[in-house]
Amino acid sequence: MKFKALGLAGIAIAMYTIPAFAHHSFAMFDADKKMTLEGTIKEFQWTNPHSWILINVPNAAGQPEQWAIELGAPGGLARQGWVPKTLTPGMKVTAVIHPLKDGTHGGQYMAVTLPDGTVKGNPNGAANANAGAN
Amino acid sequence: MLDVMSVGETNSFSSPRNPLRTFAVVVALSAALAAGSAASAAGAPAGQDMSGVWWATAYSPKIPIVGGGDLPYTAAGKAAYDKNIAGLKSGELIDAARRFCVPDGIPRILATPYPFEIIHTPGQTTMIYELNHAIRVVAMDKPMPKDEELIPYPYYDGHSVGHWEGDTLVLETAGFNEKTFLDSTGAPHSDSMRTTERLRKIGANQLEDVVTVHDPEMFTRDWSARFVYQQRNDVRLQDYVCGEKHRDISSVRGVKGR
Repeated sequence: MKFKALGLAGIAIAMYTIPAFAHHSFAMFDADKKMTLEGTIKEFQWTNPHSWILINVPNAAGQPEQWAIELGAPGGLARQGWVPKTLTPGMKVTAVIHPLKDGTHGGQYMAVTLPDGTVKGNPNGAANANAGAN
Repeated sequence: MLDVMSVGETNSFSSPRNPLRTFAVVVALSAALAAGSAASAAGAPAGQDMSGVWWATAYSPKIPIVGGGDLPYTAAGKAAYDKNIAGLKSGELIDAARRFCVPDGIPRILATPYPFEIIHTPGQTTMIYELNHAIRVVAMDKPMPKDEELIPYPYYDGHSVGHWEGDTLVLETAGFNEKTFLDSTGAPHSDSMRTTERLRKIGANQLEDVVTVHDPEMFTRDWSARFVYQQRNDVRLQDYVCGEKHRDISSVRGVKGR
């Protein structure tokens, strides 16, 4: 892992990681909303209990802002054909998420389109407790 | 107990004062002790015991490939190596094993200038390294887990299975993550690397470990490196904590003043 100086990005990661270690409910995500993010992969964390996609998305002013997308555990992802290098830093992808209700930069994974056009997940799926295992 | 004699028994064979009985008991005990020391670890066949503390007498930051020279990189491997060298030099890439004491991984840990210990228990060989207090757990006589079992759990040290071939301990390891270097110069490997180690006692007090690296993504062919360790059962492993003082390893040839 390449460690860079912990800045706002590090704090953002911490904010989204801490609830994951509590057996949290998915009520924090808006199951009725879908949001599409187009951006560049900063990091893909292949970890238990939840994997994470950190993606830089340009804001209205064109400045990249980091979003954190929560997926299921690697075991479930692997059964869907994911491997640790399915997403690598620098990849340009389009992600579909159920956004956080509080408006902060994060969401529950629904689908992601890879640079070669492959779609993983289900952009039309409903939210379920097993995020990423659809 | 030699003195199991009922009250009233006279000088029969069971009496400890019968010299023939004493002689027979001594012979039986000696035979049992001799058999015991040959059987060694947990009743294993002779020659299948590498238990104890081992410590290299020489160290090299660059992995010593058999035949010498540079590793046989593919184009992708060479590019990855150049990127690592540049990153380590500029500080953009951190040697996490040294900075944060995460495991060195295989084969880098085999070059350790600190002692390590091998422990045999039924069904498992365990190697404890003083460096970073890394532990390798080797399942003995079990098949390597399938790829789908390894993919969700990429380990720094990989997942190891082992078996004996006569006096040689064969370890196979797969299921690595990509967070480790092959050596202290930053040599890269992919997460599909597989390694095979052949450990064998040589001479009176030495152990050799020949590791073969299979990583077609990074290298044009399989290649091997050889490490030799001295038995040091006069040594006990010490604490090893990031950022705190470690044992003096200046006696290890090739170690620069630490």
